[in-house]
Amino acid sequence: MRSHLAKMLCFALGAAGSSGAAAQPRSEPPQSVQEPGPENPNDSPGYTPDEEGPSASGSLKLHGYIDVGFAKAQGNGSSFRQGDTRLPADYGVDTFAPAINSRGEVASLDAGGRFVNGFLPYSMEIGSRASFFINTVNADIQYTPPGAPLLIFARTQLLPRFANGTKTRVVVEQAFGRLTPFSSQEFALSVGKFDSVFGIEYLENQANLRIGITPSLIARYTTGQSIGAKAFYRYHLPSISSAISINAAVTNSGNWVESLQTPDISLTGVPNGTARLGYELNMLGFQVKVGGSGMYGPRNDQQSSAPRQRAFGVDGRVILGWLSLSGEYINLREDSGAEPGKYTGTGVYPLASGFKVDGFYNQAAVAIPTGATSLQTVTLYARYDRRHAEFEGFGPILTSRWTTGARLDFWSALAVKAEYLFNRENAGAPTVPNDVFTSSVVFTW
Amino acid sequence: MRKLTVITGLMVALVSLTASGATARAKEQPHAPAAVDSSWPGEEMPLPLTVRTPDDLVFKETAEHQYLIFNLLASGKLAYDRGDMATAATKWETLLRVPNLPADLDRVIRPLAIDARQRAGGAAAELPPEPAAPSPDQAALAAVPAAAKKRVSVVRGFVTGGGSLGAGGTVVWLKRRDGATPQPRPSRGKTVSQKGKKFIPRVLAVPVGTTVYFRNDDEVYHNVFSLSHPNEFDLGLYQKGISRYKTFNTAGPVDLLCNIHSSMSAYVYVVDSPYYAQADRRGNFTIRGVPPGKYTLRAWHETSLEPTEQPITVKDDVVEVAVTVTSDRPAPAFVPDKAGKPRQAQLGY
Amino acid sequence: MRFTYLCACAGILLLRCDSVNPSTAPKVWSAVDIRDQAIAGGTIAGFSASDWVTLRGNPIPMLSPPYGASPRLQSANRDGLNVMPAFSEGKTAAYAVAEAWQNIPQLWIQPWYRFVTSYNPANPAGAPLPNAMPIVDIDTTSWFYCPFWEFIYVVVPADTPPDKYLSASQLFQDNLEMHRGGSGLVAPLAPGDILPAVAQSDPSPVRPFSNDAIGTAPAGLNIPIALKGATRTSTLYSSGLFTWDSTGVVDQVPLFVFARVDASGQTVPFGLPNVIGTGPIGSGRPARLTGSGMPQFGALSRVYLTLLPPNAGVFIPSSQSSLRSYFASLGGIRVDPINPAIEARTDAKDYSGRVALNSASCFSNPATFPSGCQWLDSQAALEINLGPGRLLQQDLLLTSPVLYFNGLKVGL
Repeated sequence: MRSHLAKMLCFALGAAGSSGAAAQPRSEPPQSVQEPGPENPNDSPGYTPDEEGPSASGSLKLHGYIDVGFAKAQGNGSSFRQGDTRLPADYGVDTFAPAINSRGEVASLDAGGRFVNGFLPYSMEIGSRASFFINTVNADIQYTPPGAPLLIFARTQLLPRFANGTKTRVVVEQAFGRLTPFSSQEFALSVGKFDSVFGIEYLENQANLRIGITPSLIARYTTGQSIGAKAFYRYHLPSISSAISINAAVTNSGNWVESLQTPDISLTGVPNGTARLGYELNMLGFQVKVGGSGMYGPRNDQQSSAPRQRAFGVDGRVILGWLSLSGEYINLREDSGAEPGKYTGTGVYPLASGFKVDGFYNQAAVAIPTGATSLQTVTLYARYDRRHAEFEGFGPILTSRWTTGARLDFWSALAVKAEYLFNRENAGAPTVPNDVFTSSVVFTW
Repeated sequence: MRKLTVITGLMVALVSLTASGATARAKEQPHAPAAVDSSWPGEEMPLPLTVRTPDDLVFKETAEHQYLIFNLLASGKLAYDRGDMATAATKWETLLRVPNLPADLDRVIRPLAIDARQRAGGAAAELPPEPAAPSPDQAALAAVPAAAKKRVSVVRGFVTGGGSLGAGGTVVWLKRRDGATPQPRPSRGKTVSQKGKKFIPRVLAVPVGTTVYFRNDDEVYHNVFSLSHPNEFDLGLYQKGISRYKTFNTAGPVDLLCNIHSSMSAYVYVVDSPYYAQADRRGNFTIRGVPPGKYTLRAWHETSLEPTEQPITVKDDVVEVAVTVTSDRPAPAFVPDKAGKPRQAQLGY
Repeated sequence: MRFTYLCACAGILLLRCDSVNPSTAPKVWSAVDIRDQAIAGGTIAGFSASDWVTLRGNPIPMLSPPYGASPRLQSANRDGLNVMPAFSEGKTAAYAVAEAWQNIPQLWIQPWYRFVTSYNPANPAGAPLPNAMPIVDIDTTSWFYCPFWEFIYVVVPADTPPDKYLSASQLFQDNLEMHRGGSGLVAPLAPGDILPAVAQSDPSPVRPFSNDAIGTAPAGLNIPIALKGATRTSTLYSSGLFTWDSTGVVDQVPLFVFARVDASGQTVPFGLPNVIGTGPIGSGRPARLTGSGMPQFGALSRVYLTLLPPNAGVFIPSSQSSLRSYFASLGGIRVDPINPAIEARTDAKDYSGRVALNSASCFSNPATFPSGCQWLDSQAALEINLGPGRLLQQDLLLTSPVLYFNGLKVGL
């Protein structure tokens, strides 16, 4: 009884006292401390949906975008010059120069009937006509099963094409599973068809990711997809807000874009290896990424594994507030083929010549936030590309390009872009009118 | 109101101590009844308090209620001291029948009343049933002095909307339309854990000025940052067991991200009102301690572009509302990194 | 970066380093390459290089024993492209192998830029810029090198220095006016000391078996040209004597090389005069001739090893007893006696080396000779009488300018 009453006394005194207790002085808590208990009557513990708790089921996400373009190219929309009868016609010009969309497709590949040997992009075949077109209808599906350190991803693209050059296609651009087996290490293994690991431009392959519209003059060598296995490891240096990473892939093909090689199977039985070693500094509003990449392996555009391709490159990216600067350089060499025939995405061609290229791009962009709900960001950008390329025995060509443009982002779901490409033939290639005005509206869902 | 609480508490303590002493003495020898102090206020009701306004009426009723409790408590004690167990039992049995008797007082007096009746002999009186454990609402209300209980309400309801995510986590808060909304007191001990490469909780509502701790419970490094202006911040990289904090001094939504793991995202919503709540999984919410008045109810869901608003009037003890949140905020296709560059989740970097 | 490159290389430890299979690798054999191969005593696609080139001072194979009574030596001051005897459309013909393409499916015509001070479609070369070298833009190091050129007339001011333009890129850079000429030139890139073989005892090259004087490319027709700023030389063989399609592919014809299967199972040429076809196998394309009877075919030919049936026999006059003995010893072909009356014919030399299916009866009967013989001296005859199973296509293209056809000297 006495202890019971004593407890009652304490309770009574406590109840009387607590409401009148003076507030403790607020001091800035140290970094790592024990947190005190709550006292707010409406204090909320927060909300965690079941899908994220211990009994979470897998998450399925669907994303995608629709890219609609409008473009007008000079001349006949191609880089081929009337009256230039040297063959193959695509060896003496940069067929990729009059690009009109994020896939690097060009306005035209009209060579006047002259023989070409497969160094070709895909074409929208609009020629010099101004035209609207649907570039890409993209759908991404991503699934993370519950309780497993797995991610499954597939990207499918519908490419409506209605002209003579290229027919409508459905492309499985990527399909892979990614495993992160160690909870204590940032290490991931991917198997399937995935993006290149060379350089950094592949990070902006998609229309809604790329600041501008068209890819650089070296993107054709670095931004393709291939089938194989990839390993990524990142080691953090928290004291300097930095990390070092290595990204290495063993694939059927190199990193050329689809139109220049057949990425889906190995024709040689010998894989190709690519790796990038990178350093990154990550601070709020300030980021630096630099890296070096290398690639070696068979050409995989013919069945002999003897002809090899090798490349190395460096890349860098700096983001400071609104300003972003990026650049990339590549040096690539290809042995001449060991047998007749060259298999590319656009067809089979007679011969696989030896090839070498040096090229780079530099890009600057200023993304100005408006603070509005609808128009969120206005971005102005400019890029300079330069490419020196030579097919064995044919003679080098040097081309360059200035690209200037603007991008408006609305509601995080709509980007409107417009840019002008000033294509220049500096040496070796005949001067042609192949500047391009292009625009793009990208709806992201 | 605070003083009344203190007095009641002291009274309970006084009674407890006295009861223990009385019990001890009871075991020894009966006391001679002490003389009744006629200077005590009488039992007559009502009290001679002037009533001019409804508030005066509320105060008078509250005072009378407290006076009745005190009177029965004290007179029963005096009777007990003088050995008049029958009177003591009668006083305390009457006290137990007073409506809205605090449960803790009931628990103190009930055994004393039974004891006194037993000592007095005769049949045990039929006492009202013991009060059940108070609900949070009742406890909250019980903490409020009787007079004040009439002046706070509970606003509760359910939220619909939220798209495929459901309405769970919706932050609901009230802002006065007929005056200034009092500044909320910062909460304490708010923690967001990073576990299994997720933020837990996913949505956390906190009052302005609250310090939220972000604790890494994973084996890997994590980072917490936000680009939500003006609450942008970056806590850097830290490993398991470490907590870092951020004090949120500006109202509004704060999108939380991890610069290493693009799949990690969560929200802190900073409210500038003491009257707020978060909906549970089914969409139900309760806001306590809301004084009567006219308010604007606002509700924000992580899929909402802007909070929805609706006017409500609080005058009853419990106000029921139905809220619908919009799902017009497009889910960003790409999660940005600290520099604002988009990241592709399937890359993992 | 080198470290990264080395890491990339080191990481591919499983790569097996296939050596290039020499039998499948595309290769361009220029005249210099063929000569070098002959010096080394090597072969090209199974053919001895010395079958095509006779080094200076050496015996010319088809003019020396057993084809001739005594060795006839190549001129001492140049190497010789052997004049290969042939038949085409039933007529005597001759050609030389100037270049070879191994495992290259076809050739594409390339531009040959000629400078003019004014352009007249009726006479495009009527106003040449004096002393200006023509320009080409592709070297023998490219698989797309082609010795078949299309004239492109480049209009320049009359006072243009002749050495101002030495590369095609300069022409485009200056945006010069150009006109396609429509006619074609057979002109391999070759030095001036590799020309059709001529015996030291002869004033000019001759066709073996018949000893007819043939068209030739005198030294004066080995001219300097500009290639990417450097001066090279080209041997001009003929103009307007080949055709190409709308995509620039030069028309090729089959070159039927009579062959046998030797004791080791290898298919080896007999060393007989070959047959020049006139169009794709099975096309039935008639011979394209100019108005003057010059053949517009044959300059680009694909080798078909042609297996003879057992009853085929070669016409070898008795005056060439050693040659008769030689072919008889090879086996695989009949060497039937020839009626003296046939041998006495004035045109008998035109049949020397020609193969007939019914040689046993045909060569002995002057009354039915030559119309009664089933000659294998045209593409149509071979396709009809031998069938596709005996016509074995080879991955070998030849620049084989026709030097003699139907009594005409062919060439510039």
